[in-house]
Amino acid sequence: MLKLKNICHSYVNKNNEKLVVFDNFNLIIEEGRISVIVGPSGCGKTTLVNIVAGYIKTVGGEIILKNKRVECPGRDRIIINQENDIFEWLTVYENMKLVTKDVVAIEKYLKLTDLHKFKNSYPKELSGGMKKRLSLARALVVDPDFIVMDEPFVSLDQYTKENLHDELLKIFRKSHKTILLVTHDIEEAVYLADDIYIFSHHPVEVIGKIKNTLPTNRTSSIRTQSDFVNIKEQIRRILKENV
Amino acid sequence: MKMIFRKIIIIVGLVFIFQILPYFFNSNNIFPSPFSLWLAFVNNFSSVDIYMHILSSLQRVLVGFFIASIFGVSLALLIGYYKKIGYCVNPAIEILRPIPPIAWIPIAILIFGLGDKSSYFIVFLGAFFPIFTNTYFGVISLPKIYKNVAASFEIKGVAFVKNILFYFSLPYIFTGLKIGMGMAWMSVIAAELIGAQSGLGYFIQINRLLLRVDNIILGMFLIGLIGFLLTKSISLAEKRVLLWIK
Repeated sequence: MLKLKNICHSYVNKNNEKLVVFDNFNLIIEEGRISVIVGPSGCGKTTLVNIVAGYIKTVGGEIILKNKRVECPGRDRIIINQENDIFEWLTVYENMKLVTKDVVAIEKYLKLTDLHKFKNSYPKELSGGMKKRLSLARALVVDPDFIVMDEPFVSLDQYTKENLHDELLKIFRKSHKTILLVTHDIEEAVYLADDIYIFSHHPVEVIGKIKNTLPTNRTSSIRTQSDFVNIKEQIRRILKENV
Repeated sequence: MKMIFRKIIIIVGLVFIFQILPYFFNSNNIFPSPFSLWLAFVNNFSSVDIYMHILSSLQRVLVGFFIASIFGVSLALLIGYYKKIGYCVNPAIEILRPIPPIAWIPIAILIFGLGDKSSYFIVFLGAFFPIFTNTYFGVISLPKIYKNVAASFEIKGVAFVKNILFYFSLPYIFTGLKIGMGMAWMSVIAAELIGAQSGLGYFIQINRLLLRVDNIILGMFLIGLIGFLLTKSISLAEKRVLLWIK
């Protein structure tokens, strides 16, 4: 379980104005589930990712992961970024080998992400979707407690994105990892999430929490079903009323 | 094909201009004709001296350049990783960098005497700064996202410098090596003109005193040719090493 307790964070913008992003913010992410955060652009979703990752220090509050206080970045929480975060000068296999010595695990996750045929390729030879799969394989291979995904599919086309959604769900069901995904794509949130948290503008507040009632075995056809559409509409309504 | 034809025309044209210039200035000493240059080439390459001069210069360049490469790259990686060392070292480098290697020759002779050591030192100074500066630029250009990924996976210390910082900076390092090689050649010739008893710079200097312009031009041509070949060999190595950029 990941607990964010009384998080306070602010920064000074270009006009020298203090911007309070989090003011005594609290959030609990449950273990073994895909929790998705949706919210308007610029509300502080990426700041939250950076805080959980340990890249930035908060002014106040604490982050507790599995009863341990998070102080700095570590292998227990791996971040998958919206930008390409693969080391371009290393082959697919070398990217994996840099983070672990466990060659059996490397082979396992390259197969799981369908990249084993490309293990000697350089990232420039991979498509955008394959690079994301490599990021995911690299994250899984170190066996973290927690994977945080910051709008990982934002730069991909719709077809690749939907394929990756299915693959992520398949991999997640096999690996049983806890995933926190940040997105502003409501459809993506509904398709992937077990729990959906809706953020307001800063200072951030959770203005809605939805337990996804859709079946866990999801396929693309679910996107047109009434339950799926209803949850989407519910999120849209909450955002419209509060943001 | 058209390009090759054009190049041949230009070369033939230049040779022709070179051939007729001595007739206009009425002095074969100032503008030796291509034929007298060819004779100088044949005469010099039939004796062992010119090979010794080439080898001497090459040795000085390669030794000085090698030391400069090791120091330049290592120091840039070190101060890129340990920022606090950079705060101390950078001002000193910024003060030393604008001083031309030729200005160091008297100091080099005073410290190392007339010999190879002072030439190594001058070549080192000539090559060090471009190699260091380019590598350092590469090191400080490392995107934050790679630093964050490294932090998350706890890739630190030697592993970080070797696998991330060094490889990311490699294209910049190669640029530095190519510029550094050019500077190394310029520096060795300057050093040999003043404080050496062999080498292509010494060859030019001796022939200046003998008023042998044909030999001087031959020396200049050899400097250009060897410098070009060495820089080309670095470019070839770059293509072989930077496989992820091609």
